[in-house]
Amino acid sequence: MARAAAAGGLIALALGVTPALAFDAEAPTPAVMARLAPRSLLLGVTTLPDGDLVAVGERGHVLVSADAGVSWTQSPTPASATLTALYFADARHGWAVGHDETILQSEDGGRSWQLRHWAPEKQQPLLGVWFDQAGHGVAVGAFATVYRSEDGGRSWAAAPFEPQSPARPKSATARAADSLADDEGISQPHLNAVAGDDRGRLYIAGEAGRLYRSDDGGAHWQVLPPPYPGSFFGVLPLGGDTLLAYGLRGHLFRSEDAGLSWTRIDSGTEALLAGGARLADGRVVIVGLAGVVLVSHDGAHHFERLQLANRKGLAAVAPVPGGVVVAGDGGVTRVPLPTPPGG
Amino acid sequence: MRVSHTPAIVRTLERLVFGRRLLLLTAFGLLTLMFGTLAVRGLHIDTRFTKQLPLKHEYMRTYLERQAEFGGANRVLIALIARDGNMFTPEFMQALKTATDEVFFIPGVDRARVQSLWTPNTRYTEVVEGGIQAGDVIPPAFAPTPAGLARVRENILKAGIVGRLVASDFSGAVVSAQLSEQDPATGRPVDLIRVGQALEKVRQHIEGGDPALGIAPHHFDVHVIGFAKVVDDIAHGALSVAIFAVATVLLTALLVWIYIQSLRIALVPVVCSIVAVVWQLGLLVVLGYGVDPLGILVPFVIFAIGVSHGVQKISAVSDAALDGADSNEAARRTFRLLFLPAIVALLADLVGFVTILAIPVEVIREMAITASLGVGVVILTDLVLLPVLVSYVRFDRGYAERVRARQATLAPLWHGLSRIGERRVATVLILVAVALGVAGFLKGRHTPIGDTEAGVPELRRDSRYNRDTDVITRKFSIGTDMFNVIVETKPNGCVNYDIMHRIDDFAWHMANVEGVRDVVSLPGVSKIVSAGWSEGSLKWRNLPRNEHALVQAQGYIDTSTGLLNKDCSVMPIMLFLADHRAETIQRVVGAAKEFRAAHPSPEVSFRLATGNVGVMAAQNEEVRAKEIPILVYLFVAIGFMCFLTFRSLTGTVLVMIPLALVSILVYAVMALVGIGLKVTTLPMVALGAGIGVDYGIYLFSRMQEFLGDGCSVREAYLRTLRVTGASIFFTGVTLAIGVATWVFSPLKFQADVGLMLTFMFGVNMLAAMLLLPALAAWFVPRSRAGAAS
Repeated sequence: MARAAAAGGLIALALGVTPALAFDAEAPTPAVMARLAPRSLLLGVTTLPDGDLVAVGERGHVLVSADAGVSWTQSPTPASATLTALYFADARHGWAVGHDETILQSEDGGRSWQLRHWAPEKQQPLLGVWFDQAGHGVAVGAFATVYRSEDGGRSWAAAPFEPQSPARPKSATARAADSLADDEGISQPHLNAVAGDDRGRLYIAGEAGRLYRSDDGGAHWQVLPPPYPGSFFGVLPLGGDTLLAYGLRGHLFRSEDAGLSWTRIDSGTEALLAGGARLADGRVVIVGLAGVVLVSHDGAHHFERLQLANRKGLAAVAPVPGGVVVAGDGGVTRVPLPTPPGG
Repeated sequence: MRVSHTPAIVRTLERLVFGRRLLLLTAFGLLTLMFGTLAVRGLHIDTRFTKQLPLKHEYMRTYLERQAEFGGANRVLIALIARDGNMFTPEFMQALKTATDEVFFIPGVDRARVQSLWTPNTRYTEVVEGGIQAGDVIPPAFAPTPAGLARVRENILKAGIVGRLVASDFSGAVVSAQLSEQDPATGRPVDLIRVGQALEKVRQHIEGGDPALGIAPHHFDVHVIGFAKVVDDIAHGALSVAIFAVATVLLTALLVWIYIQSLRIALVPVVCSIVAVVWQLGLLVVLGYGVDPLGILVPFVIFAIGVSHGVQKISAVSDAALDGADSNEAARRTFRLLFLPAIVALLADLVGFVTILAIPVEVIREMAITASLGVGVVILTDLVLLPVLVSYVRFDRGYAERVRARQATLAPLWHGLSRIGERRVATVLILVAVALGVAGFLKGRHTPIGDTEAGVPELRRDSRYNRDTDVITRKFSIGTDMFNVIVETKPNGCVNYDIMHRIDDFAWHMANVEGVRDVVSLPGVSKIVSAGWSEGSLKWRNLPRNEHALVQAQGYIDTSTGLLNKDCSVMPIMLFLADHRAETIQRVVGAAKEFRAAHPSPEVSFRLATGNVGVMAAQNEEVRAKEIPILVYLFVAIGFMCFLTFRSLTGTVLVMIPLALVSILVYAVMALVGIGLKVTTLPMVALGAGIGVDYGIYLFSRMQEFLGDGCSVREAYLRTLRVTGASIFFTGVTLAIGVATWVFSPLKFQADVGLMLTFMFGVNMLAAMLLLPALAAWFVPRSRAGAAS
C-alpha cells in the first residue's frame, strides 16, 4: 500500500535516518522546454476569463493556448517537478502546485512563473490549490497537508488540518466510514482536490471517503458525512448548495445541501473519475481514466458516457466554445460536444 | 607486332603454356568438374545475423555483451489484423492463440521472449479498493464470451500495451518474438530462411482459415516483419537472380558475337568466364563460406570481369587473324602482347576488392575474399585457358574478310575521334570534364550515408514486406525499428531516485527527438505502477523520491520485460523509431550523445546501442569512417600499379584522372537517384573503380607504345583506336548492358547496384576514350611526341 510505504519513509525521517538524497541543491532545476510538452502527461487545465487556456503537468510543464486549445505554447517554469493542479483567480493571477511540494505563481496569465514554495525533502505532493479574490489561498496535498497564503500566494505557511466532525448524530454510513478509517489507521488522509463555490465555501475531496467543507476560507474544516468509503478525487460546485463529488471506480454523487447529504448517480463506468467542469450553457462534464467523458444535459442529474477512442486516462477538463479541452495521459485534446437537438 | 617489347618472362610463360596445351585443357576440365560438383553439392545460403555486424564497433560491443540478457536485435513481429476492424471476437482470439503457439514452436525462436496477449509475460496491474491486483491480460479461465472479451479489453487498457501488443484502433494484435543466434536443440546457427518460411506458413494458415479451429478464411490479414522475413524474401527474390544470370550470359554472348563476327570465337571468353564463376563458387565451398543474399552479386561481377578481359584478348586475336595469322599463331601473339596489361588490370581489380576488407563486417569481408579469389581465377582462365582455347578454334575462310569490313566501317569514326588528340578539341573536353567534376562533387556531397527510405531498402518499396511494415507502423506505435540504449549503473540502481530520475530525463529527451515514436523505460513503467499504488490516480504517476515507494513501484516489473536485469544494474531504454533512414538514425544518435555529454555522471553510463537500428547506426558510422580511407587506399594502390606498368608518371595521371572523375560522378548519381552509401554500396564504388580502370590501362598501354615510336598524340591515339578502340568500346557496352538488366530485379539493392555498375562500366569506358587522350594532348611532352617521326 502506498501509504504504508510512504509512512515508512516518514518514520525514517522522523528517526533522523535521512535517505541518501543527492538533490540537496538549493533550487529546483527549471523545466526543460520540449517539443512534445503538449502531448506529455497533463494533470490540470483551466479556462481563464479571457478565453485563454492554461494546462499543467509532468516535468514542470505549463502550456498556454490562446486559440481555445488548438495550439499550445510551453511557458518556462523554474521547477521541473510534476505539477498536479492549478487555479486562476482572474485572467492574470494564477497558481500551480505539484510534487516536491512545489508552488508556482503567475501574474501574467500563465506566461511566466515564480517559485514560491519547494520542499522535496518532504517527499510528498500538493494536489490542489484555490484562491479567493482577496488573495487568500489554500493548497492541499498528501497526508492531510494544508498550506495557506494571505498575501496572494507570495508566502505560504503550513496550516494544521484538524477538521471537526459534524455536531448532528452520525449516520450509519458515516460511522462505517469512520471505523474503516480507524481500522486502517488513516489519520492523515490524502487531500486530493480543493474547490470553492459561489458563496465562498470551500470543499476538499479526500482519500477513503473523506469530504470536508470550510465556511471561513479554509481556517476551519468540517467533516462531511461520506456516502462511500472509497477515495474521492474531485468536488465540483454547481451553484448554490448543489455540488458533485466523484472518485474511485466510477463513483459519482450529487448533493443539494452543500454536502450534508448525497445521492448516488449512475456513471455507467468503473473508471476512476478525476476531473469536472461546468460549461457556460449549464452542461456538466466529468472525465476519468480509460478515456471516459461523462456529459450531463440536465443539470447533473443524469450523465451520458462518451468514450475517447484512444482510451487514455484523463485527469482534468476545461470548457471551450463548442466543447471541452481534456487533459491527461497523452496531453491536451479538444473534444467537441455538439448540443443535442432540442437541448 | 613488336616482339622486341616482350619481356623474357612472358616468352618463357608462352612456351610453357602453349607447349602443353592438351595437358592444360585436361587439367582445367577436371578442376572445373571438381569445383562444379563441389558447388552443386555444398553450396548453401548463409544468413547468420552477426555476419552483418561491425563487431568491433562501440555499439556492437554493447550489443554482444548484453545480448544474452536482453536478447539481440533480431526480432520478428507477426501482426493479425481483423478485416472488420474488431479484434474482440472469439475467432480473432483463437487466431491469435494459434499464431502465438505456432510462432512459439518455430525452431530458433527464443521461447522466453515470445510475447502476445496469450503469453504469461503479458500482465496488467489494477487498483481495487484497498489494494492492487495483478494478473494475466487473458485470464487463465478465459472464455470467449462477450463478458470474457470485455474483460480482456479492460485488462489490455490496464496493462498499457495498446500500440505495442495491440493495435491503437483495436483492430488487431501482434505476436512478437526474438530469434536466437543458435538453435539450442541442434547447436547450429539458426537458419533465418527457414524461420522466414515458417512465418509465411503461419500467415497462410491464419489468412487461409482453419475450419477445425473456427477460423474462417480471409477474415484476418497477417503482416510479418523482421530480419528473418527480409532474408527469406531476399532469398526468394534471389531465385530470380538465376534468371538474370542466364539473361546476362546470353546477352553478353550475343553482343560479343556481333562484335567479333564469329560465334566460335565469341563463345571462348564466355565459356572462360563461366569456368571462372564455377571455380569461384566451388572455392566458396572449400573455404566453408556460404552465399549470403548480398554476396550473390559477386559471381556476376566475376563473370563481367572475365568477359571484359576476354574480349580484349579475342579482339587482339581477330587483329592477328586480319594479319593472316592462323589461330595458334594469333593466340600466341595475343598472349605475348596482352599478358602484362592484363595482369596489371586484373591486379588493379584485386586491389579494388582487397580495399573493401577495411570494412570490418563479416559479410563484406567474405565478399571481398570471394571476389578476390574470383579475380585470381580469372587471371588463370583469361590468361591461360583462353589463349589455349582460341588456339584450337579454326578461323573460317571469310573471317578475316568480315573483320576487315568491320574495320573499314569504323575507320571514319576513329579518325573523327582521334581529333581529341588535338589541343583545341582536348581543351573543350577537359573543360567539360572539369565542369562535370565540380557539379558532381557538389551534388555528391549530399549522398546520404545509410538508408534513404523507410522500410527495407533491400526490397522494393511496393513489396509485400514493405507494405506490411507500413500497416504495422500505422496501426501500432512500434515497428521493428528499435534503438536500445543500455544504462549501466551500480547494483540496485533502480531504487536510487537520482539514477532513475536521470534515466527518465534521458527517456524524455529522446522521446522529443523527431523520428522517435515511443520510448519504453523502467522509470516510465515504474511511474505507472506508482500511480497504481495510489489508486490509479494520474496525479501520482511520478517517480517517488522515497526509496521504499520506489522499491514498491518496481515490485511487479519482471526481468522478462527486458527493462532491467536481476540486480537492476543494467536497464535498457527502448526507443521505437518511425524508420531507419540515415538522417533519422543520425538525429537519434546525436541526441543521445548530446544528453550524455551534457549530463556526465560517474554512476550512470548510457551505452549505445542495440536493436536493429543500433546495428545500422554502427554500420553507418563504420562506412562513414572507412569511406575516405578506402578510396584513398584504392587510388594510391591503383596509381602504384599503373606507375609500375607504365614507368611513367604522366601515364599514371592520364589513367587516374578519368577514373577519379567517374568516382565523383557515381556519388552524384547516387544522390540523384536516392541510393545511400552503406555497407552494401560502398564496396560497389570500390569494385566499380577497380574494374573501371581496365579501360584506361588497355588504352594507354597501346598508346604508350605508339608514342614511344615517336607518333604525335593524335596519331598515337588513332592507331590505338584502330587496334583496340572497338574492343574497349564493346567491352564497356557489353558489361553495362549485362548489369543494366538488374534494374528490373525484384530486389531493390540489386537494382541499385545494377544502376551503379552500369554507370561505372559505361562512363569509365567513355571517360577513358574521351578524357584520357584529351589529357594526353596537354600532358604528354611535345618534345617526345613526334620527335622520332
